[in-house]
Amino acid sequence: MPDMARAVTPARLCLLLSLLMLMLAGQGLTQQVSLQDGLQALLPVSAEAGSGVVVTHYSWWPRLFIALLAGAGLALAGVLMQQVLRNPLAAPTTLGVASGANLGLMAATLLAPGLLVMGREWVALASGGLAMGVVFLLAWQRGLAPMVVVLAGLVVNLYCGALAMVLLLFHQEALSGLLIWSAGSLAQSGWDGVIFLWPRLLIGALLAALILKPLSVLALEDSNARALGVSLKYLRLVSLALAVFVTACVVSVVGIIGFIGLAAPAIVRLAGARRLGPRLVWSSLLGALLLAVTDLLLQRFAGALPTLIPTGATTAALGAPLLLWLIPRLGLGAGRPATAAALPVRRATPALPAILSAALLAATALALLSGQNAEGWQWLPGAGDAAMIQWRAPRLLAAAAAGVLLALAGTLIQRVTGNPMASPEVLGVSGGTAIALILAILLIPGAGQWTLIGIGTLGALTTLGVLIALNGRSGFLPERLLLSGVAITALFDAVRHFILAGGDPRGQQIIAWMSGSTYYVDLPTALIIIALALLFGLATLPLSRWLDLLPLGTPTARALGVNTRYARLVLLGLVALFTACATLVVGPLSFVGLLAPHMARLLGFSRARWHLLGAALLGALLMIVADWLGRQLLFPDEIPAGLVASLLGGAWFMWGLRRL
Amino acid sequence: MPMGLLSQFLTPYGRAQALFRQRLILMPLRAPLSTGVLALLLAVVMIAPAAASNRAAATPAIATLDWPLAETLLALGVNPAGVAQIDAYREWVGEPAIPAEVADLGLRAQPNLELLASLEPDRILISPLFAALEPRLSRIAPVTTVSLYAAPGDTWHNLREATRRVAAIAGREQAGEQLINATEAALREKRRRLPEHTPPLLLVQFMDARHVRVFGEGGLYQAVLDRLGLDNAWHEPTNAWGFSLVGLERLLDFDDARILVIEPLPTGVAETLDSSGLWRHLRDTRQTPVLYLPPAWSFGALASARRFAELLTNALTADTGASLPAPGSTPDA
Repeated sequence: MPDMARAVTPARLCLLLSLLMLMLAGQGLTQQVSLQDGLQALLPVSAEAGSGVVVTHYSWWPRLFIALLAGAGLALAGVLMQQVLRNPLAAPTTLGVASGANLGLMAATLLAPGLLVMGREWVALASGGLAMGVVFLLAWQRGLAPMVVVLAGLVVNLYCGALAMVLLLFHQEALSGLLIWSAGSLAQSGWDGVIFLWPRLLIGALLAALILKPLSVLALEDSNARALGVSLKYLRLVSLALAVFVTACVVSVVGIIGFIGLAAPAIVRLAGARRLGPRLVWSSLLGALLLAVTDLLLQRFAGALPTLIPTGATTAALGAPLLLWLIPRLGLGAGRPATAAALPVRRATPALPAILSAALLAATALALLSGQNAEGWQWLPGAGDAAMIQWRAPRLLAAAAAGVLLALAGTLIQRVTGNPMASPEVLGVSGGTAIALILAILLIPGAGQWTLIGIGTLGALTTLGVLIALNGRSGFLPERLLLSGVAITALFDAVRHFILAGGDPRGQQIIAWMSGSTYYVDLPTALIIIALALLFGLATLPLSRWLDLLPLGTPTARALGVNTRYARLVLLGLVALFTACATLVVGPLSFVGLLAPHMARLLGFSRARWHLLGAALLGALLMIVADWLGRQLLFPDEIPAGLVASLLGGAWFMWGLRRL
Repeated sequence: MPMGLLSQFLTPYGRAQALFRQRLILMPLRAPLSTGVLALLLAVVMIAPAAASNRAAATPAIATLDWPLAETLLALGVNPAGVAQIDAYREWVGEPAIPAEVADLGLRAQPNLELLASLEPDRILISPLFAALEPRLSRIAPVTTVSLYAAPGDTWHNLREATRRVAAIAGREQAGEQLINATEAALREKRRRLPEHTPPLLLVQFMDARHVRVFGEGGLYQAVLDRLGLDNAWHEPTNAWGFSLVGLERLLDFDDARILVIEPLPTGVAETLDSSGLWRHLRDTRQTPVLYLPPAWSFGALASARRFAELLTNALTADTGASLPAPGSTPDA
């Protein structure tokens, strides 16, 4: 770090980027008009002006300004959030603001179009604020403790995302315009956006300056800060609300541009800015420049393509490798006590596994024997049409197997990393598999199932390889691993947004698969996957000693004779394997992997062996019920099991979190 | 109404009723349904529940996931046994209308297999888009893949071939040829009605207030423009579905082109456009005013093509009567 700090300062970085931006901007401008005309186009143009001047006035200039404003706003919000949550992963998108706004706009488009006429930005602002309000509400009891806020934000994010997916699944045509927005396009057709954004950002910046001093105190531990006489709850509330306001303003105008808010503050901190004031200033500048440069490059090189390349998705795609590069350089404390251990734990009653098993059996019977057809509800013992079993059995088995696999993977990764936010999805294995599969669907027309499975496996292995290559040297430190996963997941999001924004009718197929459906499973696949799930389940039991010791922290585990490096490598390999198997079958939506271990823990399964068992039972139960409900609720339309699981589980989880 | 009465009779026999209803749907709706025929059919259904031997003679029960294929079937006078996402079809394709009896199969990408199996179709039609479903669907009924757009070559030729294939499968070869001939004749007639000098057209559909789809090479609209002898101003590369998704500002490069906006505008876009400087400039500085076309499904088959041609011709002819001629233009004969 010290040698880097000397060579790279925030000021030098910004200077370099400004030069690059000026060069690109000059080039871009003179491509259309002469430099003089271009500069004059900043002022209102007459109706007789040539088309080059008109484009420059109504589109090129506003786009440059909006890029600068949006980048600055997101970075400002990012710094505030990271400061409040003391978490380098916190970003404007982490707290559910973006996904809440997204969901709100979708719902308004379909249900109350009148609201959109009043102004999209207000709908986005209200729904983003509402999502954030839910996060606050969930975390209020715990005094808005950073970890709880992040967790609540994550759950609200997933929840909004799942609901948005349901809407998207059924109304792809009606929402196609919104997909462009949610991929983050900076294209402008007038000055309205800029006029909307700049006064609001100015207010945000002024308010940030006002609370600068008490905010600096937040970097200290809670008890120290309290000793200094700062009301933590209200300070956190005010600064988070400010960050959300700024985010919602930006998001409502240009859509979701997630990465800037994470990257700009991180880079500035790496470049040596320590105190909050300079970090705010330089991050905002850097965020503005990063977004503007990306957008200028994009305009220059992507103009000839038949499809739109949204800037927001591009920053995410470009940002992912950057984040991977940044991770080893971020000063992340390794020895922080595991937050998971702080959660209150009840003792499990011995009857609990038996109760869960009985519930599992009941759910299986329900899912196999009941269903609807053109004449309404059918109960198999009565109707006698046993042929239906051939359609139901594979789905039931696949749902159960996926639930078990994801629950095991989730339990392993939460114990290995000592992080309750960890899930297979966060590790990026689901994302990597999904990228490979999406590309296969798009590039190989009419690809068969086995081709897809092969390509998906390849994607999972590649992701795993990247994870091992990046983290091998550090001994698989939990935080770094999670960050790598976040980067890969961001890449996946980018790919998804590119495809959806392009309006390709094949998007429907991809959405259907991505939302975690058991639809595509046939009987042989289902049998293989359930056999694998049972086998893997048994294989993890001998590892429970590692799982009991690793959450105690590396030094403790080592002192007790665990080769932590080796143990982590083995366990992570298993996580990747489980996740890849489950993803290939039911898509990348693995909320169950986050949820089942949590539920198991809250129910009182605390020792590793029992934790694994409880999570596996819960995972299977959750997925079976979700799959059955999804097939019946909107018959004949089917809601994918992954989405239903997210909605059911998310609700339960929020309730549990409130009680914590 | 003998149909409803008989259905009531059959209510206890759930499956027989389903089969029976299917038979009825497959008959041309306007055909006289004498009670005698019905009684005969009823007897056949009751005596031989599988009704396999009976099936070859009648029009086969065809289920389809794809809207253009459903549209083609309906245009041939065949009611499909089931179509996916019927509500959305009504909203986006509209014509020809799907009768209320046709079963909704659920999502196009994930049709409800249990429901589809219980309908017992004779054949399932899909487009290459749903190729991944074929192994599963073929356990219910033989699956035929009909390609409308994905195939290389001239779009209009592909549409004609696809219509013929669908007609052959439905046992309506003659109706297929009639549909093709009628559509082409209608397009020729439209071509004669069109004004002499129509500037190149820009066919745009607003996605939001800042982004438009511009239709070009490889799509249904382009195929219709070719048949009508109209020029498309948009020669940029297009995607597999025949459109480019671009920012609104790209339209400024086409000074001489006439802009045709295909409705519906997404909610709120009309209001936003009124205050958009760029759009006001585009709209107001043109020699020819912007035209608005009622919706016609842009990824449809012959029926959509005919509808689009009609709407387009009406818009262009109505407009020349109202706002032209400029002093220099050719005098009407």
